[in-house]
Amino acid sequence: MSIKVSLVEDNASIRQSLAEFLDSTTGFRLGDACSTGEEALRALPNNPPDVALMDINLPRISGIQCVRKLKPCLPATQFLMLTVEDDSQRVFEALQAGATGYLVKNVPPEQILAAIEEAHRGGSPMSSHIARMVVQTFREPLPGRQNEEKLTPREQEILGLLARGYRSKEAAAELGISAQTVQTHVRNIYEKLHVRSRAEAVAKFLGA
Amino acid sequence: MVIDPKQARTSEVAPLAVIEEVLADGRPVVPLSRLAPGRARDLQIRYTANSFLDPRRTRFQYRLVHHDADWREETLDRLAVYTNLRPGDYRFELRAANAHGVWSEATAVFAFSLAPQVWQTWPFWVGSAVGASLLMWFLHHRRIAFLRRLERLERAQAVETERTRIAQDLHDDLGANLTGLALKLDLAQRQAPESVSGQIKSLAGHARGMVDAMRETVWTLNPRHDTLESFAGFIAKQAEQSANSAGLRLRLKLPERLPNITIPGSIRHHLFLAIKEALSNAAKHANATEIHLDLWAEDDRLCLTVVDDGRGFVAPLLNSRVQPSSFGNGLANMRQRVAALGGELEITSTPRQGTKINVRVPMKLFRQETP
Repeated sequence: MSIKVSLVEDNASIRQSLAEFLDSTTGFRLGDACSTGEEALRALPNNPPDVALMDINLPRISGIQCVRKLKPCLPATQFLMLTVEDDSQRVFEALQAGATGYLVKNVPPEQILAAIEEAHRGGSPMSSHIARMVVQTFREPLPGRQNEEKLTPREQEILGLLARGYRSKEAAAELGISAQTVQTHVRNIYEKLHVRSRAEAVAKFLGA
Repeated sequence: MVIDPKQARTSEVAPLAVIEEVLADGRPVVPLSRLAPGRARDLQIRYTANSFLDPRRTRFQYRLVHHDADWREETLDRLAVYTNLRPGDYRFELRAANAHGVWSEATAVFAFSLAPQVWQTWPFWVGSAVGASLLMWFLHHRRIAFLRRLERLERAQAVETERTRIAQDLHDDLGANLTGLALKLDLAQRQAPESVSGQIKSLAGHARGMVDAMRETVWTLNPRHDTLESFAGFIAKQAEQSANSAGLRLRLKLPERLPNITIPGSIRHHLFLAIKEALSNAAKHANATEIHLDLWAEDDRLCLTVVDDGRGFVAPLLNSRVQPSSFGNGLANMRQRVAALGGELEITSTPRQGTKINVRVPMKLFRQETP
């Protein structure tokens, strides 16, 4: 069963080339290739992909807003953000919106395909700086909520190691667990981050 | 001796005018001889006369020399009132006449002088005028200086904004197109004959290298990234890349919270390139298995260390100016950049025991974020 991938990217040559790669590589098939967020909001819900590659810097509706809108109606889709610059802040916002991974556009196509495969298998990469930002975010108390989503001690351990530069395999070896388990934990951390940011938005909305 | 009553009446002895009491601004003046504080503006002078005839018909006349032009009209009142006297020397003269109109020869006198209030003196006026002029001059110059400074800042701000915008636009457009080009080259490489396939692949690599270089420059220019936290993140990412590409372990050590400090673009630029050099030395030349990157702030200095467990090198080589290898060039480059920031660079290396590069940069160059 091949992985169905949809693309949302405004640069035509990047979009077309990636589409061609997906089309011509075994194990992948192309869903929709959209050039704007508006197009993605229309097309993706009717043709749910396994993985959506989403440019962060789209004109008008940003990739972050797209994920925020699409994730609730496409819970099974993994959103991978494509970035051009090292802007952890925006990547972090996308992760809070419901994305499960990100990669820099400017890498060879094999790396992009590998990242898609990994995301589909349940893997979620997390750079040390993102791990650090997650740790800092969960340290802040949520306003006006008692039963907030908390990280388990194991999740905190894993975050701590990732923030110190451990790769997930190294973290797994350090904790004596499998790499697969670490990946599951990271996925859960992303999910909690997402839930937490929604709770935060609600709290903000209610004026807490 | 014949006494003619008529004559006797008219040649009656003149009354003696007497000043009884002086009130200056409502307060009695004691002794009467002088007006002590000399600051009074309102005077009330009570007077009387010693007359043997009907005292109710005793008439008076007075004048205040330097104030009244002439004697005032005759009056039966026994009170003279002056208000709003200007500073100066005065002489109050009083005479009295009896019922028959015989005037006293002698006058009763009360001489006094009124000192000016501070604001009535000319030094005060000159001083005030000079003071006011100085104040206006000072305010004017301060305003001019302020406007100039504002203009300068606005111009600098405009230049910076424009520079950032150009860089960002270049990066976004050119970067995306170069990335697209690299992808197209990758596609072409798939179908190309083996003779050119390698070349095409390396062209794609070149295009990506250009995008990376551009991204670093844009990053250092963009004021969005000028916090210490953001800088730490950028350095950490660079370290991850270096370690990944060389297959090394990376261990980072950062404080939980970094101080909320602004690092201007130029400083970020030098510091980043210096650390990148240190990382690439460790990754490429050291034959190491592990890189440690520590970043912390202490005593108003930003400290960074890059430690590897590689083969190290002989220390004396370090300080000699002539360094033929690219490794040596890198070190010289690093030294220059850190020196440009007024910082210190310390390298300790022992053969087979790795290298430690220690960078300390004073943070007073950084702008302190207002809380």
